[in-house]
Amino acid sequence: MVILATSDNEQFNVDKEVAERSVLIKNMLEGENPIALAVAFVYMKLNGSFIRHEDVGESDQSIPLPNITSPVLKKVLEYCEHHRGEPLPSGDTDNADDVRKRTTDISEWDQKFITVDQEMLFEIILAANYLDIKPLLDVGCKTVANMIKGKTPEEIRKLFNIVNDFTPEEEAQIKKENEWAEDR
Amino acid sequence: MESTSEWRSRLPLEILFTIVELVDKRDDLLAFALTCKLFCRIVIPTYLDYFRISSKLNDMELWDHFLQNPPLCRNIRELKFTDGIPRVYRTPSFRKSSSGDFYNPTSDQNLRKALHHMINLRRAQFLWESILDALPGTDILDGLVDSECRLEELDLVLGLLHSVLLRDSEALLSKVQKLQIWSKLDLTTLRKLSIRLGGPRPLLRELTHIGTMLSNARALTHLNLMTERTSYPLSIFDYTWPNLENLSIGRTVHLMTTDTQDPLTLANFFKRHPKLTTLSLPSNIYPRNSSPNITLENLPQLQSFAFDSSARVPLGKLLSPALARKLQHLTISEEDALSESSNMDIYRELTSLRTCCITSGPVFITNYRTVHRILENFVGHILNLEKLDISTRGPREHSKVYLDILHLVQRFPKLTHLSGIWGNDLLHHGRPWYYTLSRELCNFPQLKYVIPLPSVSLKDEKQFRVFQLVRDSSDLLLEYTPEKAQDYDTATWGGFYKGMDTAS
Repeated sequence: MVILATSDNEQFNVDKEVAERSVLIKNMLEGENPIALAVAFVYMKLNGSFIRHEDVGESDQSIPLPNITSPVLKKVLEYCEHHRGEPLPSGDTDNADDVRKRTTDISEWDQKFITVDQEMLFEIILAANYLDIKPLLDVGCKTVANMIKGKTPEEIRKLFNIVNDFTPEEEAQIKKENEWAEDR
Repeated sequence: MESTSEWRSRLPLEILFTIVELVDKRDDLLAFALTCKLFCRIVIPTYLDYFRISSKLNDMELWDHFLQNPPLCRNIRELKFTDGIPRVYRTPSFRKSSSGDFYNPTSDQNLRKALHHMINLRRAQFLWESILDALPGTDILDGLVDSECRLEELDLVLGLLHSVLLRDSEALLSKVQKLQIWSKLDLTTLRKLSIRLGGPRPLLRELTHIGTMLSNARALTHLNLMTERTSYPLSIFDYTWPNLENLSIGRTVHLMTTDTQDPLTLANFFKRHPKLTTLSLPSNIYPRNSSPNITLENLPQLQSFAFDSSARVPLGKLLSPALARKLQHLTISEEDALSESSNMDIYRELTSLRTCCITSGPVFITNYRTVHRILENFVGHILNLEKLDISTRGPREHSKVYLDILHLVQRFPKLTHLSGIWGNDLLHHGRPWYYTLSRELCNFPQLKYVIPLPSVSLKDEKQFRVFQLVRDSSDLLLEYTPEKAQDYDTATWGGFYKGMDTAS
């Protein structure tokens, strides 16, 4: 088992196989990510404890996740639990990345899983990015991309709380410049 | 200082890029870019430029440009190849060369390599209308196959304008056989497929890979097949596309089934495709006897039907009154329309009809009053008709055209679109009548758009001239408004024009 500690000081006991859906945690457990380890080291020092390589992983020592709150980690672990055992993305090859990006469909379970309020959706995306869980990051990004589809600029602004800093003239000018002129 | 937003401050740019890359539609990207200046600066140069490319194959300068900038290829979602007819494409930092040379098959390596990088290509149009002798070889298509792009729409046009006689048919056949590489494309994500083929019969017989393409494309929602001048053996009704919504088959496609006119084959096909909302079948599918046993009852969602049986089958035999009441778009040939006089009951059921198109068949109606008489039979029941297209030749007398068109417009109080070829003769031989009619049409406030003639040799190569009534001008009452052209695409008109490609 692996213990994960969230920013609000909750601890989660997680199967190693589930936790290792996160490339960040996997590397930490294998001691291959010195930066992540250093971050964790500093965090533990600040909290008055000490961390050693052999302490990370299957021990009583928890892995601190200072960027993630417990409700978000709970959701992330739900995803990892459901997808445990599935092959992980092959990693850093461009080709694999491309194939991942080109697939726009979201599976039925993932779709239900990601049906959360907007705040949680963004938190999940950020957590997936931080923990380096590419498939979850994809699901989140695709969901946001789907939310954009078919909407007007004003609707997108409302959806994402974006402040319009264009003057009407600037907006009209950009529209005009980008009007597609094929076959005319 | 730019505005702040909670989202922007929280989501890192690399995630933003990932999200934007997943947005496929250009309009969505533009809408996103228009939300604020920061997104505008990111989206337009990175994703929107080079989103659509339309060019001829021999534009080597363009393909070299892409080859030298492979990341640009990733932006391309829509690609249109033509066979040398100049087109406009939008590439902001690059201008088309003025070279008008034919495509040179020996120098297509750069194009192939550029295609290899177009991994995000979604919609492809290959419009090779003429010059079959210079048909591109496998190198180009290899590039597309290599890219492993997940095409969603494919429009393939081959040899529609090609002359029947071939000088070197052996060499040509060899090239066409090489085109079977089309069947190697991953078409599992394809939603819309349009194939329009021309050329001589022996050539088309070699295109056996079309069948493989069709069987691979299981996710199709739109299928448009058309051949010119010749028949093409295809067991179309033996296939199954579970999500098919729109099926259009050109009149000259020779339909090979176990029995070409076997009603059971058709009935089973319809049973397997209950999601069909739009259907256009060729005239040779209808049997010659008067009791065809072909009905559309297994298509409960049918809303648009293009009917041309060469007067073999009355419309009432195909449609039940219940189905007719749901129909919103009807395209009917003159022959069929005229032969309906003894079977008017079905017309009275067309109460939901919004658009009606009367197309030219081998027999031309020479008087719009004939059309009018047909329409009048159910005018009392389709007061909601909004779009009317009369693609018939019409009478020679200009005064009659003038009166007939006015009469038609008066008959349909909700008519907003009126189109056809009725302005053709008027514009060229009876211009005073043309302008007088234009002025009169301005008096109908509900009428928004008028398309009085199709374009044949327009410089802008639009298929139709688009006119908007301008009520304030006393000089030119029908004003050409290209910015409105997009209002007339097939999506808006729902396959309104016979022969127009509803799948692309």
